[in-house]
Amino acid sequence: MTLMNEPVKRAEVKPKYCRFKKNGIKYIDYKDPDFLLKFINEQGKILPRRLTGNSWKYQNKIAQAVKRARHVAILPYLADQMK
Amino acid sequence: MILPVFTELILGIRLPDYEPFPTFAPHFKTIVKPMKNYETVFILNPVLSEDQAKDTVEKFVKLLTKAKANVINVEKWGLKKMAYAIQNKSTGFYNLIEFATADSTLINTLETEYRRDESVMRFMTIVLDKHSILYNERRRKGEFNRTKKQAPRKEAAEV
Repeated sequence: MTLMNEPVKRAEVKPKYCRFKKNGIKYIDYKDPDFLLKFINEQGKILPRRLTGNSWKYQNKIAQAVKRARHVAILPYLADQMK
Repeated sequence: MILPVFTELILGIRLPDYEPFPTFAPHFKTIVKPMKNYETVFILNPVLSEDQAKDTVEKFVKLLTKAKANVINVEKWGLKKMAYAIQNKSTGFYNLIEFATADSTLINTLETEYRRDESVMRFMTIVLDKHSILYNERRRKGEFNRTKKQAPRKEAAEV
């Protein structure tokens, strides 16, 4: 799910797309940890755009939302095994 | 632009008095500042009893209403587990207040009030843009219940 844009088989490389642009999502809520969990790895780090396929605009919004969630202890700053 | 002093010299006439440092938009003073929506989340100490927690939330709501802010929504999420320990405590009372005000200094007074109150462990105030205001309206109506919310997104992502 998270790594939907990462090519597993080199032979069939699908073009990357931004899921926010595609689905028309304009605002990313920091209060929703389940949704933000798709954009961070097991250590709680924000995944790069290379893997998520987000556009620059929405990747920045994701980063903003994750950082806000961390501040109010909805998401951890550090984690060993989140998923 | 030719300075009025030079025009006077060249034309040999006396121009009417001008302001030495003209204000560019004097009408700005009369314009009413636009209302902005804010959202503030704060975590209260779990040592408090539920009544005490309620009272502290009411205290902050009162502070906002006294300053003529328009309190849109107050949410109490109750005792929640935090992602990491704050002040050696793993749980806390989460509260959310959404309000609209034209007075931006109100945020400062609110945050100093948070800092003075020892029962507030963590707080955050953010400005809402037009998209987040719409989102919050829909959230209040309960359009984003967990099951409803995730189903369409998953489908869309897999296509």
